[in-house]
Amino acid sequence: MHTRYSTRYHIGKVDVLPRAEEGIVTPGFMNGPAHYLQAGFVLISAANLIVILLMIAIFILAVVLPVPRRGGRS
Amino acid sequence: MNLTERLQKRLTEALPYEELLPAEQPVYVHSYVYLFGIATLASFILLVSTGVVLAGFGPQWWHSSTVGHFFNSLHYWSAQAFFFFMVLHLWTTFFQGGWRDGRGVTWASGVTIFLVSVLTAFTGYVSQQNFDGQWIAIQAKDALNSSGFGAFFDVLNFRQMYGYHVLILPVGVASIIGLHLLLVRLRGVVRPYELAGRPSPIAVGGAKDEPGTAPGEGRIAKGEMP
Repeated sequence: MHTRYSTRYHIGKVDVLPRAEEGIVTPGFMNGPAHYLQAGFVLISAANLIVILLMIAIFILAVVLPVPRRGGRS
Repeated sequence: MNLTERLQKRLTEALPYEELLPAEQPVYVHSYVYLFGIATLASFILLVSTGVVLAGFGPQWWHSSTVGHFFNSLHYWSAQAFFFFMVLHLWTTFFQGGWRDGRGVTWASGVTIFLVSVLTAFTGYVSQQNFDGQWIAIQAKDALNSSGFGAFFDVLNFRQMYGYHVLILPVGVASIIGLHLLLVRLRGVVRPYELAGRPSPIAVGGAKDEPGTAPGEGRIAKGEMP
């Protein structure tokens, strides 16, 4: 057991993902169960919420930010 | 005039070269929101490229070697980027009313790309050849079986799902993307909505009207961006 999450890759004595012990798998926070946020009947994973917020932010920036014109003037 | 000549004439008329590869765009195409479509296409090209490498080496390789992990990750994040930019492109064209002025088929082809892409991503998830893929397939089989689709679309059959994922669906997505791009080129980018009580942004931009176009629908050359 070399890492905090290494037990996830073993069933009994069988190493089902052998390279996990060599540290080439995804970082620990991506190997555990997803973190969920709940507000009433709304249930969403933190990962999905981050992606949605990022999309909204990029959409607003793309609408608002002016495209530079030739010569560097905006 | 023989059949080949008739076809040649028809294609030349229907697909004029200057429309397929335009050197200029309407004056209102001057915003970052117009980049979401091409970002989606770039993600798709990366998806196909990494997918070809993964298909060439196989599941054992992408699960057990460092380079395999890298390409697996590239393929995964390309899919994330593809949907990320596709939805942003969807928002943009929705708020622009991208279906207006004879662009209904362009809009419908975009919607079709989205739906087929969802199915392509799904078959990709169940083709991972790991516990995650098995879990998704087992969860999905009940819905598909109860709807009747399970009779010919068996999510527990890796070979069938893999065939769908690497051949049938990608060819479908690529074909409809080709149609979508062709229609965008032929019909052009939709004109923005005019704001009540304000002059058209096209008129303000100083576009040159071309013969046969509606007022303000002219184009400006690359070096003439206002």
